[in-house]
Amino acid sequence: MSEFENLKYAKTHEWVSREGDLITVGISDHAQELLGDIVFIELPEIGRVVENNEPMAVIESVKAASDIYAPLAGTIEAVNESLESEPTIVNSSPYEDGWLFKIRLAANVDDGHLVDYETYQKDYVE
Amino acid sequence: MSLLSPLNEQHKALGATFTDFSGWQMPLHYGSILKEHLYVRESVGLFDISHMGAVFISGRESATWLNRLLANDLELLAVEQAHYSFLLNDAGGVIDDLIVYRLAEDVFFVVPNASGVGAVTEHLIGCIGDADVRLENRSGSVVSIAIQGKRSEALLQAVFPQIDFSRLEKNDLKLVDGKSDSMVIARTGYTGSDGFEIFTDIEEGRALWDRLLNNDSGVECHVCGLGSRDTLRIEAGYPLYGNELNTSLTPIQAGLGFFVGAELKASLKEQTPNNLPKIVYFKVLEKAPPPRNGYEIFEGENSIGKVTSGCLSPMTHEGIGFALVNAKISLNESEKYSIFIRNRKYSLMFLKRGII
Repeated sequence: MSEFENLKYAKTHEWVSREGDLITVGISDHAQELLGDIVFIELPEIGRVVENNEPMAVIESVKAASDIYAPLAGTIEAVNESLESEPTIVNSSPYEDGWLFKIRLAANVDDGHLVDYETYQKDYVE
Repeated sequence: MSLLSPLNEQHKALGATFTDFSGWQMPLHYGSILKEHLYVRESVGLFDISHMGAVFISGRESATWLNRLLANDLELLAVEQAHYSFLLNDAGGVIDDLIVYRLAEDVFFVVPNASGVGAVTEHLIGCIGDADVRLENRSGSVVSIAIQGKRSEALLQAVFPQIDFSRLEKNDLKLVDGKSDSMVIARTGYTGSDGFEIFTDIEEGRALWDRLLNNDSGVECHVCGLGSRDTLRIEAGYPLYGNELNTSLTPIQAGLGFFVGAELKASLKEQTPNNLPKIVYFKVLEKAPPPRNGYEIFEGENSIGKVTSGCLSPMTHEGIGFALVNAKISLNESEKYSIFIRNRKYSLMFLKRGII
């Protein structure tokens, strides 16, 4: 099984990779395809505390601006700065080089609303 | 139910993503708006623009009649030339912007926007009276293809060896077999790059589309959708009806007085002495999100207008666009003006024309 099949997904099309209490977040291949060419990405500030489902980043394609939501609550620990000069990396490598940010999770977060790849494909990708 | 271009099956086979545009289902892109934009600037892009109107006007009095109705001076338009013009209402507001092609002394081919065909034909027909003028609306049964980009001449030269394209100047046109009901090839376009537009019947148009894509000229030619057509025209500083042009703005207010005949221009200027509100072109001076319709423009602390079209230039990555402003502004001034995007202001400068 390839990497993206082992990730968890939010219904708003973010993927989540978890190691202990640190998660890495990006958007799914389906989401980048829907958006089309990404021309600008506004990432959150490091240290910002975010709630589950809080809009905290913006991805802009040629045609539209889309909010990105925190899939789980915590504190922003890192952002992918290379996206500032080359936002199209999210189009070409949504699961690897195109990761968006990392969140250090708050205590006792419940990730029950995140789904596996198969469910995401079935329920949220048409 | 959307209207379909005669080339719809070709677009599907090419993997187009479609969008609704003025009631037409047209290609938005075939994979990447940005790449399609760059194909035009660097090589050649092929656009289906069959959604645009196609109105033929002929008759002994057609020239004098049309010259009374359209804003640009038709006496300046020689046979086998095209120019940009407007149909105006009584108040000088723009009913539509259009291109007029003079196919013969008394035969004209008028191309309004898809959204404007109804209003333009209705207005024109209402003005015929007993003039010796015939109007034929062939919108929807003409295939219109734009071949745009700096290598478009080389491409067309290979496809039409019988025509000497080096002698076809900007805005010149050729009738392929010399008759006014045949294929029209004009050195016109709306991208800011060199290019041509071809108008022909459906059967010939479908064959031509395939021939252009599979030519053996050695020139790279890519299909392009309306997404890149929009970013290209914004870079070039060309207005879009519905965004920068409407029935409550005169061409003078839209910054397009150049395309209005001298007499009419003088009277429009008199009607609206300070020309406000007006359309202006801008460039954002900082790295910023793309400017989009409705974003507010400030002079210091005062809101002076709103964006009507905008994007990040695929060529320079700067924010560029048009705004409708209610204040006198100064050009090339980098200190005073800004655009408000989400939660902060980014400085901007007004320019006389597009950046390409």
